[in-house]
Amino acid sequence: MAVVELQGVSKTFRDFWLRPTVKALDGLDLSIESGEIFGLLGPNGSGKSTTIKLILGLLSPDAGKVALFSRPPGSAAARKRLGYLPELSYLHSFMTARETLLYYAGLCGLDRATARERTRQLLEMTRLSDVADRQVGGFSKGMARRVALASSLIGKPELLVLDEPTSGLDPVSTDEVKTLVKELAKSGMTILMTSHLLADAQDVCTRFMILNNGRSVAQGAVADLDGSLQDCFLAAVAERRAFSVASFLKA
Amino acid sequence: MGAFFSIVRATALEISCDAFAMLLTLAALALSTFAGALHYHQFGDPTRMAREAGLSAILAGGLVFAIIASVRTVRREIESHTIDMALAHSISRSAFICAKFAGVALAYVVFFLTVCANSITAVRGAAIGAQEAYGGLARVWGPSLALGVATIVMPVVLAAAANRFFRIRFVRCATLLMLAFALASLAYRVDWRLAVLQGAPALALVPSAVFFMAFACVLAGRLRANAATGISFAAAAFSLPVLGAHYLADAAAPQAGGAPWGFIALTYAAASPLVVAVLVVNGRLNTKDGAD
Amino acid sequence: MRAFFEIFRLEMRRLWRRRTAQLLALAALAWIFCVPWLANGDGTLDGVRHVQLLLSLGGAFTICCVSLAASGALSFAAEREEFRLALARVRPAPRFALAAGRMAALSAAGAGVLALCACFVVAKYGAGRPCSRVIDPVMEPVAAEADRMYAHYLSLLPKLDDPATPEELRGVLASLTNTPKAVLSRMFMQRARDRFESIGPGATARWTFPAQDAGEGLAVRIRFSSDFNMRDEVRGVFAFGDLSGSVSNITKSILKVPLARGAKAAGAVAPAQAVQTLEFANSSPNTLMLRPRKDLKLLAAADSFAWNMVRAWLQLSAMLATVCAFAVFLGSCLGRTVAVFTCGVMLFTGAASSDIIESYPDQLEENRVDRISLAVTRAVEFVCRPVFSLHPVAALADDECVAPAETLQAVAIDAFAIPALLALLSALAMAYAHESAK
Repeated sequence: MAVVELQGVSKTFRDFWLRPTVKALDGLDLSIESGEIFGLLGPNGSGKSTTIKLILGLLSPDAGKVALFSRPPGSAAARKRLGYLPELSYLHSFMTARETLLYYAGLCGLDRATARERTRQLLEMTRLSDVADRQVGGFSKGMARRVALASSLIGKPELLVLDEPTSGLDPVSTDEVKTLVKELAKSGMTILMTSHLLADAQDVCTRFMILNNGRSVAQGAVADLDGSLQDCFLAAVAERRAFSVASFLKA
Repeated sequence: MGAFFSIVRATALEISCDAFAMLLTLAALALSTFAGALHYHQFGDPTRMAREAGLSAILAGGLVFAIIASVRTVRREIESHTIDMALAHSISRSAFICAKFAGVALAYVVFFLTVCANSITAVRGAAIGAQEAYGGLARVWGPSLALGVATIVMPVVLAAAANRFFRIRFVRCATLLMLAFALASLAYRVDWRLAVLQGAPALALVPSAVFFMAFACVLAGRLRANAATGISFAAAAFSLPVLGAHYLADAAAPQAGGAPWGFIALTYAAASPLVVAVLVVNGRLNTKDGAD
Repeated sequence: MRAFFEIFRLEMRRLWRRRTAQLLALAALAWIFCVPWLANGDGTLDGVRHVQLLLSLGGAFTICCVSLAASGALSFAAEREEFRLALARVRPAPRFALAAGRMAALSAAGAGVLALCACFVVAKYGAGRPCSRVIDPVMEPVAAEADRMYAHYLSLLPKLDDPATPEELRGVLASLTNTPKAVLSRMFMQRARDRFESIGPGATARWTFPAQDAGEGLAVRIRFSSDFNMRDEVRGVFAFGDLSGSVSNITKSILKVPLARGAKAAGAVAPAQAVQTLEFANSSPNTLMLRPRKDLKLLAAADSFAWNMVRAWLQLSAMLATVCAFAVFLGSCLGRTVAVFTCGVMLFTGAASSDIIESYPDQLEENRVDRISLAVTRAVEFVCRPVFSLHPVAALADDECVAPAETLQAVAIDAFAIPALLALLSALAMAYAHESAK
């Protein structure tokens, strides 16, 4: 059964006068099956975050259809089975790590005893037990990332959406996150992650899609990640080349 | 000095793009225009009411402008860590705060000129009844109200059109157009006596705003936005009755011999050492903290 | 419900740990401590108490309103703009709870600060001090009197062209001919409320009131005016059943005359009667004037100051809940600067609208600008009525009871119905807010 289904989805952002400013997605088709680790790859501004926000129900498509567990993405039933780690951690700086997890447990509708037990487990898993009662405003970027990751897992989701899960983490923590993702997938969780690093997808994902300018330019299983798909990704990244070092040095 | 002036310029431009400054100016314009134009009270001195409404808009609006603009601009730099980039360019923390203060003061000049010019037009519209006390002013109600309303509405409409068709920044364009309309309104049957009668007392209100600007800038450099704003407003609120009773009562009264220049000079003389003291104490504290 | 409490706790933690609640309590209490130095009233003990009570509780309420409204609008708009709200929205919590929890927390914080202030005021002015129930005279309804005035005006209209009609009357009629009926009705209603009654020297005036138990604790509150002076000499005797009280005063415009069992019995009433007569025999040398609907009240001793303070606190907290809910609603659909500014302007115009309408006589609606701006002001006043029509602090300052029925109504409407409606609207706005934020 498809956990996530996008059919011909387009999204254009508009300014105050409703003039189109950015065409973020253009007729995107996407299907993620249960138990998969699906990678959404692409350079900056290719439409990865917009796709995720559409799946989460935070944006509505201009055209096409989005379904999550065969339901509209904003519905409470669909949200109950969902966990989300955003690109930046977005934590309430005045709350402690424990309070943050208990807060999100409450929003997921867990009863108090379960919430406390799961909070303890997640704090241990992310090695935050020692600092659990410190306000997260004073945390390092990596620690804040771990709190955010724990809070995305608090409701035991069936689908976990990870937007750039390794951004801001050191190599050891990055490796641990990748291992965690694989372990979660083994337990039956479906995972959708975005990245602009091909190596991440190779290490973790079972299937992936490469986006560029809001369109899918290639997709397949990780076993198919041969030279042609790599070239496809590199071409998409090269198209977005932002720096012109030579001209600067020449000037 | 280059870094100092860059920060002053950037701060003034930042505030001119801030919706808060534009909205506050609009509210002050509305207060001075309509309090002068509509006769909500059947008795009394409408000219004085219009004058006091204009001066109140400059005093209260100026204090709100000074405190909020100062706290926002300093806290924004600290919270987004852009202050680190500025301090890396060989400018001291106290000089940075002084530059921020100067930038806010520059932006305040636009606010002050706009509201002051508009209040002169509004008083022109209300000058009825007690003409003798105000040097035989003639009342120009209709055109004054029309000019006041135009100063509020037209900049917004024109700035919206400029944004729609030429992609010019709405807030900055509207703020500058408000100033242009307010100054241009003065040109309608110019009466320089009124400009002095209303403009001179308005000048006496500037030092209080400048003092709270310095006070809020310094507090924002040390405290969170909530605390800095709260303390500054509390200080202003407790001093407002004194400022209002003193400045408005003395400054807005009809002056037989022209503007109260001596009174205005006194307010500047009293405020200047206070402003300097606040900035110097801040500099001293920064040096002691080892923040420089 | 769980989500509601989680959001409630989150907002409470924010208010406490960001020191907003402490600063607010400090500011409100500092204001109450400062009031005795700022206001002395008319110099009499009662006058000082009246002004200080009005200023201290009124000021504390204003501080709470402004601070919590700004804080609510700012924090919610900031949550939305900084994407933290989206993190809550992807959880299975209803959007209604995200707004309602926040509104409840802001209101609870405000109610807590107001409770502190109320305790301080009760300790200062005495918990056992009696407050009075206010009884209006039994009179023809204002609308009926206004209708009679309108009928009389219509009957006079044909005389406009009659040369025998006095010039003054013709002038008045001519000035009213183009006035719309709605404006005339409003004007006549105002006239009916403000209608003066004259009591000549040596004359006796009578008014009827609902019959009262002839026990102790009844008093008359009256405000007399003479032709040109609000504080002229007043002398005379009131009688109500077998109770009476005399008045001799030239210092105060509002007089409170206690009624006690005396020799004079006037307007005695059979037990079955529903109304009873209050008489005033004017023994001063001047003609006295008063507006019976506004200036004449019978006061009956009721419960204590402390109980009334509890009811006033409930009313103030309910009003605060509406203001906070409105601020959160604005925060859910506007950017933080615009939300805070709009909230401030709405509070200011809401508070000022009733004063403007009261001080603006209908006859002065001469031009279109006046008419349009007054129509707008009346609309604002109508919308803001649930909050700004309640005056619990003024009632306490006048030693009057805060009506229990009014309190219940305020709690039901201001503390529950309006915030619930605004939370629903916020939930709707949230659905589109992220879209527009892009």
